Amino acid sequence: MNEFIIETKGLTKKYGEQYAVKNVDIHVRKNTIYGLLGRNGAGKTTIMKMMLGITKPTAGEVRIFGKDIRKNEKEILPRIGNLIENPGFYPNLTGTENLKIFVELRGVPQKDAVEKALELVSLPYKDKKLYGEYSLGMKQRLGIALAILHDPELLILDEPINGLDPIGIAEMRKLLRQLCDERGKTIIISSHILSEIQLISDDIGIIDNGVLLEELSISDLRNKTRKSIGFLVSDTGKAATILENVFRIRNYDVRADEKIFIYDLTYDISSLIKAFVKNDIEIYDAHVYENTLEDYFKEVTGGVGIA
Amino acid sequence: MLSLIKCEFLKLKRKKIIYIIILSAILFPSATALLLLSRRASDSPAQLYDELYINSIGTGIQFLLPIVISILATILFFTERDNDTFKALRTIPVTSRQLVLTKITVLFLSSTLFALVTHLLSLVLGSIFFSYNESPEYILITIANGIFIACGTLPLIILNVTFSRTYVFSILMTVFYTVLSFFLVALSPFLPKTVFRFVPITSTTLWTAGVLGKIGKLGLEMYEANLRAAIPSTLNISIYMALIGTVSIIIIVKLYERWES
Repeated sequence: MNEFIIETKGLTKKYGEQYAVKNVDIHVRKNTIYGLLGRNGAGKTTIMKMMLGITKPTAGEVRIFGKDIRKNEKEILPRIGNLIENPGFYPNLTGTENLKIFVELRGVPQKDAVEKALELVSLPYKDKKLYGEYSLGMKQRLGIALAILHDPELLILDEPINGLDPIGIAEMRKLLRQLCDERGKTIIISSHILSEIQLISDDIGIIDNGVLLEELSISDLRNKTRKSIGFLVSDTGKAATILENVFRIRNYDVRADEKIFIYDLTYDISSLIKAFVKNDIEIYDAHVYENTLEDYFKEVTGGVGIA
Repeated sequence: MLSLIKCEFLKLKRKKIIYIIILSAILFPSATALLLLSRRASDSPAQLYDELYINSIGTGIQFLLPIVISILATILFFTERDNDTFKALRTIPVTSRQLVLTKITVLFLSSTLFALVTHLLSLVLGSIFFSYNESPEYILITIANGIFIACGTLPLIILNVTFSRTYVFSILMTVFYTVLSFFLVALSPFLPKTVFRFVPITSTTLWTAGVLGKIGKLGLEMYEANLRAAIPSTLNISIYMALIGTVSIIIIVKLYERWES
């Protein structure tokens, strides 16, 4: 098993009588991108704030690099870059001046740290534009630049693609993938946009009403969401034998309730049905299933889709 | 800590109010120098030099500086809150205590700097228009005034950051406070002397007058006996200001920590 860079145990946050986060166990593997998926207000930001020690958990703990964050802030925080909610900067300063303040406070030794960080997020270095005049997308980029400024091992990014245009989103995806794949960073991002999480993540955690409903890898998710031909038959055992012996199909799955799913859509449904009937298998239903992540999300959260 | 202090100054860049503060430091010494020009025929240049300095301390520091400190405090204490930058500082990590102590340090530094600029301006203008007549005690009086006025303004800052959050309120309240402090001196025959010792700015004014009187730069006979008796010793005022400063700093730190958590 991979070592976990972030591990939360029974993480809980209660505001009054209301649970914002309830008993959450998250596991983020080294050198992967973990996508935290949930609706607005599901508790994503609160979880990330607790990971950074900004918010105090009501119960449970957060272990980062194997240590309790609340007891080792001075050691752990410098190794993390973060963006929580909207980025906050000084409006009377330019982007470069803003980052220089944080370079000074973080004690970053590299002289070109600001220039490099801005370059990575495609913002100009020598620009007279003040932060107060920035567009939403530019603000977001500067927020990401701040997160990567000190070259941290771990990035905790809350809704990093907020306010970016489609091209910006694609660039950000590329940048984060690059940071993970080429520079060995571990990244956790949150989003309510299903397709983005699916495109970028290695592992996914689905959270709803403060509860982590499921944690799975992207390949597990692909299996659960791929297209399939599904049959409802009287005898799945017999049907499986036919699939293997007659059609040489290995890529199928037998599930409860007399259901059998074939994950290869190249087969002709009518010839499959003919073969089943010939062997006295009764067919109650035959269907091409297209299970999207949205369907899966609905299934897991037991509710309507995502906003 | 040094980095934090440096960054507090960097954050003030392009703030219009800072330019106004710098202009205001020039205002009183220059205006006083111009007024004193008309008395060149009757008074000696050395006398006028001293008068320019004493007036600059009285107006430029004891009257204007509390207002400047209040405005600056409003900017410093609300920057993180207004711009939502505390979370970025917090995750460096910088604690709210470190941050608020830095801001208070910046207030004291600025206060002393402002007093020194006022002094320097009076020295330069006095030397040009009249004649250089600096006493060695002057620089000590200036620095002490810068520090005492900062201490004496801190209680006001507590009120300001608790009840309001606007420059207008902070300016009005501080103007009221300084005018009241000056008014107390005029009311001296009717008030017990503890009042003068108790109000920080009045106390600073009296201490300054006392020191100037001792070195023969100011005739104390123009003060009421009551007021003269209220002049604090250097030790007394130092202890009193240290006390006000310390108690205020503790309260401000506690308040600030509570907001940012």
